[in-house]
Amino acid sequence: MDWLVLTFLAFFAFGLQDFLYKVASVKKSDPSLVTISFLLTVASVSFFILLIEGLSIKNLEILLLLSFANGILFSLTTMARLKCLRKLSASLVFPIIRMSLIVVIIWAVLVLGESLSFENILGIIFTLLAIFLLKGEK
Amino acid sequence: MMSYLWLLIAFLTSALVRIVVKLGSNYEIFPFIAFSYSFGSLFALVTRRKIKERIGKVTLKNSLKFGFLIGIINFIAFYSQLLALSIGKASIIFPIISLAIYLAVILSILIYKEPLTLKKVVGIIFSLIAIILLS
Repeated sequence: MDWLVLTFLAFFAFGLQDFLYKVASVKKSDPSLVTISFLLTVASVSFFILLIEGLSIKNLEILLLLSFANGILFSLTTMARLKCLRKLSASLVFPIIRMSLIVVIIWAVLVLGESLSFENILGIIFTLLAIFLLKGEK
Repeated sequence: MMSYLWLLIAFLTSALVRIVVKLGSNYEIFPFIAFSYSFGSLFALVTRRKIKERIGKVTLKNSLKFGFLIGIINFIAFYSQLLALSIGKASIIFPIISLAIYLAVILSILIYKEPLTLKKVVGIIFSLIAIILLS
């Protein structure tokens, strides 16, 4: 399949996934149960693929440590999204969460020693302006 | 007020997830996903038990249904992204995919009639510019 088709498939699927968070919140679903069901579904499919492909794992300890951290954080971020979407609008919640990219860029500069490009600096300025405008909105 | 606290938690944990995923991307991807999501569901289960909140049958059914649906769609999205990255240009793929949230924003505005003020619209447009620049 063409990579651009795959990109747009991913685009629509990720967009639909975010919209389903909103629908689940509106329908008063339980954030913890949605998260458990969501993560177990993906884990099951991934383990199934692992069984078929029979991949061997190098550096199991580091992989488990990173997976543990990622699992807890991803679980927390999913539950937090579902909880704030109950009262706040998706047009406020999703752009703000997406702008957390700013934290990753600051981390890359401070920890990895990466340099800031002109686009990154402009992006940081627009992020701050957007947060300033969106704060207090519902 | 609690909603804004959850928003702050979602903002910070989302950033931390990106950092951990960046570190994890140096290892085998499917074991990383399988273990991460297993640990994540265990964490949600343990915290859920501590809350001991009682829910009705409809909520239970709805929650499990949405979770399953989100899981399947998430896997399709993630797998398509991986395949696209293996044959295409990351400099084009990442900016396009990072804008997927605006699909959810548009659908929410259209379907749930979310209120829009001029300030909010300008804020959303600025966030879009910021995300393109940062991606």
